[in-house]
Amino acid sequence: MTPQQMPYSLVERRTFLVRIGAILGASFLGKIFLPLWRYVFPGKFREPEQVDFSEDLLLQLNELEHGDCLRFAWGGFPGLLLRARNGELRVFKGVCTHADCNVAWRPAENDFFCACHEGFYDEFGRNVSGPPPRPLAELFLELEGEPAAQITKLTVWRNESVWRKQSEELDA
Amino acid sequence: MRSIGDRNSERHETPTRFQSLRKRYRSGLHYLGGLIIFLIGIQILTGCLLVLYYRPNVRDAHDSVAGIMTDIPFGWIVRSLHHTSANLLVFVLALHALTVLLSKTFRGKRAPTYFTGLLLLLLTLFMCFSGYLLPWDVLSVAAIAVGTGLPREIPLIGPFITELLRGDVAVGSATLSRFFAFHICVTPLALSIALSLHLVFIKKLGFYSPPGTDKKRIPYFPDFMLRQSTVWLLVFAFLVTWAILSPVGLRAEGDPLAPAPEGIRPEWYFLAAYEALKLGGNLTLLSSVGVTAELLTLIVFGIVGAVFVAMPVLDRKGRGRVWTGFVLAATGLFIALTFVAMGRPDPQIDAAAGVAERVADFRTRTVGYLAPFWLSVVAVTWFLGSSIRLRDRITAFKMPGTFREKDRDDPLSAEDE
Repeated sequence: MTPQQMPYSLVERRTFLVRIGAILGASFLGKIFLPLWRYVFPGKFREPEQVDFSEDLLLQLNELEHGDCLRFAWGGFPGLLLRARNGELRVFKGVCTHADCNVAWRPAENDFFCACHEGFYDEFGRNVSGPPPRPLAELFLELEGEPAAQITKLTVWRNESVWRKQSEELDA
Repeated sequence: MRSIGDRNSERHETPTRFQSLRKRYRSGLHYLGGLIIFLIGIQILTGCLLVLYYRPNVRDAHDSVAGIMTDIPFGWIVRSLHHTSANLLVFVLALHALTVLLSKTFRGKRAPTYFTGLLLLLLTLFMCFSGYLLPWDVLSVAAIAVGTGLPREIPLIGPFITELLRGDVAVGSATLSRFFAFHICVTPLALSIALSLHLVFIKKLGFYSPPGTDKKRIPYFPDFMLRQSTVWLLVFAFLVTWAILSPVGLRAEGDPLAPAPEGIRPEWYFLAAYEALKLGGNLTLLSSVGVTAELLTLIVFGIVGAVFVAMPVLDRKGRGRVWTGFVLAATGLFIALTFVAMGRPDPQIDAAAGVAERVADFRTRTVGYLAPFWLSVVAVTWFLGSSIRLRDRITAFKMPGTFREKDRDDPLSAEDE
C-alpha cells in the first residue's frame, strides 16, 4: 500500500505561526527576566566554608577559661567557640535552629540560651528544652599548637569533608 | 482658506501655522506621551533594582556603585539602562513640550493639562539633578556644589534653598542623604501626583484635534495600545542595545575637598544653562549697581520660564505668531548654547580603578546576546504588526469613516477590487 498524501495539513498555517510566535515571545521574555533574576539573586551570598582566626582572636582564645565561650564572626552569623568545663574545644554556629535568633552562652548554667522563644541547648549544642527542633549546627576545628594553652593557628571549617577535600587538593 | 462658520466653531481651536506640520506627523507625535510613561516605567524598574544594592552614605556610595557595575550579574546593564533611558526621557519630554507649544494645544480649557505637564518637566529635571550626585564621583560632587550654590543668588529665599538642598553649608554626607531622599522618595512622590493629575486632565479635558480633521479616532484599546506597544518594544530594544554597546562609565571617587576637575561641565540638558552662566560671567556692566552676572542670568532664565508658564494666558487668537516666534527663538538659543558648550574640550577626568576593564570584558561576552535578542524583538514586532492589521480590518468594519479616504490601506476595499 502506497502512503497517501492528505489533502490538507492537520496543523493550520495560523496555528503553526502562533506556536512559533509563542516560542519566540517566551524566549524574548526569558531574555529579559532571566538576567533580572540573576541580578536580584546573584547566588554569591553563602555561608563561609572556612574562617581563619586572627592573632587577636587567638590571643583571646588562649586566655579563655574553662566553661567559657568566645564569639567570632562566622560570615554574617555569630560563631561560638566553647572551651568546655573539661577543657574540650567545641565550635558551633550560634544561631537558634528554631527561628534564627542568636543564642547566648550562660557560663553559670553551662548551657546555650535563646531569648526569643526560651530555647535551651546543653554544652554539646543539643536542644534540651523549649521550641528548638534540632541541635545547634556544629562546625569543625583545625588547629595547630597546644589546645590547652598555646594555640598558634586555628581554622574553623563548615564541615569535615570540605576540609578533607581541600587538604587533599593541597597535597596533590 | 477656512470658512466663516469654521471660525466660530470653537474659540481657541484655530488653525495655526504649524497645523500642516501637525497633520503630517500627527500619528507619530501622538506616541510621545505614551513613550514618556513607558520610559518613566523603565526608570522606576531599574531604579528599584539599583536601590537593592546601593548604599547611600559617603563612605560606601561609590564602592557600592562600582560593585553594581562589576560584582552583581548584569548590574552594569541595569545601571546603563537607568542612565540611558533617563537621557532619552529628557529628550522625549522636550520633544513633547515642543509639540504642544508649536501646535498650541495648551490654548483654552486645556491649560491645566499644560501646567501639570510643565511641572512634570521640572520634576524630571530635578530627578536627573538629584540622581547625578548618588554615585559620589569627582564630577558629580563638584557639579552639585555648583548646582546647589546657584540658587543662593536669588534674593531673599535663595540662601534657604541652598541650605534645603545641601543640608549643610558645604556639600557633604548630609547632602548625599538628602539627595538620596529627594531622588527615591520626595520627587517620585511629587512626580506621581503630578503625572496622575496630568492624565486625569487629559481624560477630562480631552485631546486636541485641529479643526478640519476627522474627529473620529481609532479606539484606544486595543487599536492604539497595540501600535503603542510596538513603539515601546522597539524603543526598549534600542535602549538595551545602547546600554550594552556603550555602557555608562564610573568616574573616580569624589572628594568634597578636592579642586573642581578641569573642563568640568554638566549633562547635555543643562549645558545651555551652564554656557549662559559662563557667558553671563563676562557681562560686568551691571556689577556696579549690585547686579551680579549670576543674578542677571537667573533673571533672564526666570523671565523665560515665566513666559512659558504664562503661555496659555499670553498666546491667544491673533497673537499666535508672536509666541510661536518666541518659542522658536528660545529653542534655537537653547540649541545654539548647547552646541557652543559641546564645542569646548572634553573634561579629563580619572575613571574609577578597575571598573572599565571589567565592564569591557562583560561587554565583549554579552554582545553576542544581541543577535538572538533582536531576533525575538523582530518576531514579536511582526506579531504585533499582524495583530494591528487584523484590528484595523475589524475597526474599519465597525466604525466606518475612521480611516480617512486618502490614508486608508483598507484590506476590505482592496479585496473588493
